[in-house]
Amino acid sequence: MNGAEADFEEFVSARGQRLLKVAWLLTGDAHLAEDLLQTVLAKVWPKWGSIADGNPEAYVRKALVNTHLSWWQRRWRGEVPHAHDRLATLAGPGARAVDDFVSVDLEQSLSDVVRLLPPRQRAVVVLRYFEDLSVEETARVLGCRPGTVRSHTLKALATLRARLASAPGPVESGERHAQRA
Amino acid sequence: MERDLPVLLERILPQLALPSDRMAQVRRRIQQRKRRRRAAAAASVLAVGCAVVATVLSPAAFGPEEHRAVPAAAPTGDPGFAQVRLEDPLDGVTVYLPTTWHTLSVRDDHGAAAGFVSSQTLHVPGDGTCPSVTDAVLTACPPLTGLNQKGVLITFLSGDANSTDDAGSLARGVPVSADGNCRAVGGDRQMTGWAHGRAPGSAGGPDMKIDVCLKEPSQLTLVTVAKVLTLLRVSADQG
Repeated sequence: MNGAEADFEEFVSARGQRLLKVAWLLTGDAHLAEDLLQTVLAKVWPKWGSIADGNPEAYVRKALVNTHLSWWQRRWRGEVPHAHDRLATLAGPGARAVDDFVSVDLEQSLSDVVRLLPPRQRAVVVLRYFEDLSVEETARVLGCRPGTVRSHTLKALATLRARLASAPGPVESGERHAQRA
Repeated sequence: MERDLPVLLERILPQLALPSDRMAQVRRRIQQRKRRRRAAAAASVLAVGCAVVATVLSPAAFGPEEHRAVPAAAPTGDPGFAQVRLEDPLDGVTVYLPTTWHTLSVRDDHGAAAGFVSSQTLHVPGDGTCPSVTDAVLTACPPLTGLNQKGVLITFLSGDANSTDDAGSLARGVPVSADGNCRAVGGDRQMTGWAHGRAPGSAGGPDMKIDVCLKEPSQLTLVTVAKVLTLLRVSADQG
């Protein structure tokens, strides 16, 4: 293995999981996220020599976002939240029990609503609030004007607020059964 | 909520598996990409019958570069058309143009970019950067001094999509009287639409505004423009 290959492998090992989180927030699906990450890493490798000295993580992050947006354009992937992923999320630490009347908390509502955002609005939310990029940096990643980023941000936040405000509060499934009776 | 969003986004993340063979899978994909590119290159040489390849515009490191379209394999098999890929960040856009046409890309200091294609030679005065790439880009930095009769200038601009039109419906459109932006380069007719890739009208589709500026277009001019817009493609190789 030569120096560039070792360098690339070290980068993937060190930053791969962080980039996978970005991919998951974009796709809402663990398998799709890994697929997206590996696709982008394979695309980036031929250019590694020129990007390694700069900010390779920023380069890969931009490629993640734009590749995901182009997948959406081609409709190769559905945007329906997968039930098994939702269950995997709820099975994490601090999750509630799952039955037909799933109890909803703010985090689960947010997870669902983020997945329902249009891809570009979702990308803006992920870049600005998870990756902590400025409006201008986000605009450069997406290849649009800062005004467009601000517009997407406002729309996304309005959707998140409206959906979260109308979501049922933390109700135990037992209580809900009683109310229906 | 905005203040809490960073923390909330961290908390909604599930436990994501770290595949032990991730690098092996990436290496396999790298080899697959190489094989596909070799196969595609071999197919285009066979199809055309001589050593012509599609050109990719080089990055405008020191200012915009004006390019002529180079003959290459076109999807219609028309030898009079050539494939050109616009520059980053519009590098996902591939256009098929008459071989006599020209292309140019410009950016402003904020990274916004516009791509131009035209039946006439293109240039941007000064140091080559555009003061402001917005909907009025033809007024801010006109890429030509004036359209000739039957001249065509198409502008590709990334921006918010507020229409369900796509490049296909734009190709079927009827030109209307030019606005101030088109008149700034001597045009008298125009068409405007949006490229939504392959999902017209879908929420969150690609935001590519297309302005077509014309001067006294003939029927042949309109047929040529329609063909260019119909063949417009947005590829997956963005970013």
